[in-house]
Amino acid sequence: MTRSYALTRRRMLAASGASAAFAAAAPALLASETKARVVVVGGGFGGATFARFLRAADPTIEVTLIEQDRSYVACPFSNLVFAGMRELDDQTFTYQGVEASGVRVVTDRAIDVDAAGKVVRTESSGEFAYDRLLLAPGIDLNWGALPGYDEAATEQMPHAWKAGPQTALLKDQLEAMDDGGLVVIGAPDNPFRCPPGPYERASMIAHYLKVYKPKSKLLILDAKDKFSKQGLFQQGWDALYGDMIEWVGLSAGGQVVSVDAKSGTVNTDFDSYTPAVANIIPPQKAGVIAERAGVADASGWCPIDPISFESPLQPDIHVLGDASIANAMPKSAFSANAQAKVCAIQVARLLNGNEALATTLANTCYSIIGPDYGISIAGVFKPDGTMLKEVVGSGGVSPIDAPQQNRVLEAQYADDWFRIITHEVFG
Amino acid sequence: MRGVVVGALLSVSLGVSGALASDASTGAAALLSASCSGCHTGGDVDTSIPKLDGYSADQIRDLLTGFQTDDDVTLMNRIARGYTAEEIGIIAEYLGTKAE
Repeated sequence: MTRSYALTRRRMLAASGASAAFAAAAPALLASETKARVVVVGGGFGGATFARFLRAADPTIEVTLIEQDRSYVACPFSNLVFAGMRELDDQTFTYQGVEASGVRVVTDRAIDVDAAGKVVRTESSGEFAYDRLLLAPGIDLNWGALPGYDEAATEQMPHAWKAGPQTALLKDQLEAMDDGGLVVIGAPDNPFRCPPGPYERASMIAHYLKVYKPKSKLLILDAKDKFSKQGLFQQGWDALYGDMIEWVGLSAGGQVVSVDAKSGTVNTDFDSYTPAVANIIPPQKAGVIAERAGVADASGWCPIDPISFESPLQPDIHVLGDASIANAMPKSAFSANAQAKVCAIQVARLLNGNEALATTLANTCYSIIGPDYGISIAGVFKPDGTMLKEVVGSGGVSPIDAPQQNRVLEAQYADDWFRIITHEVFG
Repeated sequence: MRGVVVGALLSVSLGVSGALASDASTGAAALLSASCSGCHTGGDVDTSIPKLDGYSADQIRDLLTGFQTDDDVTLMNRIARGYTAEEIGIIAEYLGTKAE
């Protein structure tokens, strides 16, 4: 049952001797009998958006979304949980709105993809044949890339880089810490999910410490020498948190090279730390289903065609969001959502015998440094050869010398953005 | 450009006439405008970010063109500078409220 939609359509047209005029006069016949099947793996900002928008673009396409969790805990804004500015419940969304859009939602884990046979295999719901497959699995942790950091270690040294129980665990550890304790954030080298995320997290933890545990210190050990919105973050830290936050970059010996979860030790090339709380954000890669499908390359991430988001490694499989290599376009929820809307239209076009059309995409990422203190980075991106490149002269970060009123406005807009985009994704 | 659009519309009507929500919803303008709704809802979400419903095509074109040289806004200048005048025109026509 993995028939080609295009073949089916051609056969139908031939069998009925359909001319353009006849086809136009018989939409019901064609609509009911030429259904293509699209399977989506992953119900985050990319996958859920894609599923809903594909149904909107072409209601004759049957869309099945395979997602392992019954509800989704959103990463954007989850750092505010540490500051006590949000609850984890505010981050949690169900799939009722996605189902209401005509998407079949299957709560199960996709464990394998047979790209030649065009079938997705699940843990307990059997197999799903597809005409086209969208993989939006987000990230998985790259186990083994940081010596000592394995699944057991995440219980002692939470990454909290997938929102949910890990977020709650890190918050519990911060609350259990004595005033005067040391908090270490280990930040990874590029590429990784949400480039400004570790620094927003530092800001939100510092806000909590400033209020409840003001003698404490926060040390960011970084595997790189510069980071997203760096000038703006450091300006904000100076203004709001004094010398509470210290950042140590790669060339100053900041890279975490190993951890020992049992003793609570975090090692760089030059020092060992035994912090009260260690938040280790390890190296990442595309969700493992991407490897199973054969769409990840040696880097662990998934190359894509910058127009259709189709994998150059496997035909009829599209990849978007954090798992994809979108070049200049960052791994953000906004990017995943924008890519998903574009990809849904492209897949509808392809399944209807049209070519994908090159287009322009935008990204906006807000970060919160403190209450009423928001900053942003924006970008506009176009396909150029095999790459998505930023349009010269566009994009960039909030001006460093912007009036305070802009920081207040951007904090408000960040809050608005989260409600708007989650409404678009989950209904 | 015109020929490409006509060709695309023709093959859409051949293949699925009536199946796509509308030809416009899967065309170049829909693709170009897709990113906008990440922030600018037309729905019933309570927001201080301006909503797009209620603006005419001319108003959207003027706003986006003005943003390209306006440094008193938070970030729309950084976004608007990424689009050509032609692209702004296409987006404005697609998102603008149609006069009855």
